[in-house]
Amino acid sequence: MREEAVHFGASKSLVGVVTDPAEDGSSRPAVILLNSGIIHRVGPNRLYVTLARRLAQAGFVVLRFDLSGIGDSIIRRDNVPFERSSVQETQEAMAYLAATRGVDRFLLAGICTGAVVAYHTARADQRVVGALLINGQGYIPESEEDIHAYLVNRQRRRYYLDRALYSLESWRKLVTGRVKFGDLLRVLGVKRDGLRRSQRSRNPKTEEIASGFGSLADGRTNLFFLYSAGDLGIEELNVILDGRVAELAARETVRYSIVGQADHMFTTLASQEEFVRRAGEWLGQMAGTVR
Amino acid sequence: MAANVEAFFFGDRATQLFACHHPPSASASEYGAVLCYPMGHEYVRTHRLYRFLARRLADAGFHVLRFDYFGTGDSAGEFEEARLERWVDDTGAAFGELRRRFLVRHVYAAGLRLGAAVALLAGIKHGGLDGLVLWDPVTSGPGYLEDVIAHQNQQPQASRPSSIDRDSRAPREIMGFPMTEAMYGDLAALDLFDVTKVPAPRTLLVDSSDESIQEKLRAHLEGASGGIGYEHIPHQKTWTQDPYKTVVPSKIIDSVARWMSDRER
Repeated sequence: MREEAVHFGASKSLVGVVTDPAEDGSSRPAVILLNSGIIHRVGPNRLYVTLARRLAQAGFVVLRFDLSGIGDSIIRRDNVPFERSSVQETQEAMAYLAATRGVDRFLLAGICTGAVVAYHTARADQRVVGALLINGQGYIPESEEDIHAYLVNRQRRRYYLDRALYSLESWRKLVTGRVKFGDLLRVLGVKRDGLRRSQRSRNPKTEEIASGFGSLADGRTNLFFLYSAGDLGIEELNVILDGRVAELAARETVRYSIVGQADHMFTTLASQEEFVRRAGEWLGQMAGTVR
Repeated sequence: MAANVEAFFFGDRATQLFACHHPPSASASEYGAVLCYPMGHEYVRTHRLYRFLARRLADAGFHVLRFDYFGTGDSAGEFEEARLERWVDDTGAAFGELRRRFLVRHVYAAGLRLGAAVALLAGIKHGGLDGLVLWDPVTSGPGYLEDVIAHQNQQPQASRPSSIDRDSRAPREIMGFPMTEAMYGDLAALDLFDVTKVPAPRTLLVDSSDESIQEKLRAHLEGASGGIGYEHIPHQKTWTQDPYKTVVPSKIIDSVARWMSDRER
């Protein structure tokens, strides 16, 4: 395994590190790791470095890089919105690997917004044969405020029902008046949150994303939805698919999995190990199955 | 417009260190600065701040080198292999790289939190520094460990290690990174009040705490060498904040850049 610092893109302003396997990796799809929010390319808790090195040991060429304005890549001056520039720059990353490593198929992976970039790039580019979507959040634009408020309430409801109900400290807070009862009742659904499920599901943006997942699954792109237990992204996917997650996950090209005892960024070492194991296993399978 | 950075690895391939060079805005400069990162979750949370600082120093005419210690960031090695002494030597190697690759004659070092301690120790061990910036330095290893363990214990349950490890006085992981016995011992032995001589003719101590907690170190270093610059600019603790909510401390960055540029002071 060897690592090389690289610059690519129209003005060579995108910075990344390629991890090459000991043997020629061009017969496999290359893996590209996409920024988790604004955390630079080493990933939360250096997870992308760990994953890249494990994958290189398994024979993959892996590129982790910074989108413009993140980490070491300078900000763009052309006012192209992130939704477009992120896809364009990921395609530039693919072009770079195609030119320098002779790879023509790609597996994209990203945590949080990295999953969203992976999704949009997969929709836009047929060279993407698989996308590992980890704790994806932000498929639905933030401008859809009512949906985001609903998602936060759903997550808190899940917390109250799954965890707080069984926690001595939570009950102590309740009986000592340190809990806002109005909020609690709203979150638990006793008070209405003012947004009916039927209205949400008709939102054209969520419909478009749901249809996008369906098209990818029906076509050439394998999808792995990987979540930490209790992650807000689980609720978002549920809203996007109008509760039919199991239906999508049942397709041959789709896998859905939840890591227990993990937070959004896989902070504990045990959850990191489990994340790397599951991600590595799926990507390894992809190397043998994709066309 | 900000210039592109040049990213590269230096050193032997098996132990190579990742670095980013920010060229000075002036075409030729004999001045350079090595920036030393803090460790673990503080590194991840302050990386953006370092990029801003580097750009500001490059605008002020410095060749700036940000680099990752062995076992951290993009550099070779695993975090479990890291030792404080090795990071001090890595920093010494970065001083050499700055001189060799960019023909720098006057080397400054700057660091935040543990990075400040590493910069200071590297200056003492490897010498040749023209200036030193200690930004909210970790002055006491045991105090630092206590703080980060307390910070970890305030996290939601899913972000904390198992209860067995949590209750331990020497945990095996802290805020997403392994903590080996060796590194724990290195940190536990760290004490900047042991420093008897400041290794640069110019030193700036930056204190962003509301309570001016670095006054004690200032008095100690002045006693050891005299003439320590001191800037007290209160700001929230960037290194404890969620990266998405971090506000870059531009007043401190400007102050550091002004002090480093004013070479006659």
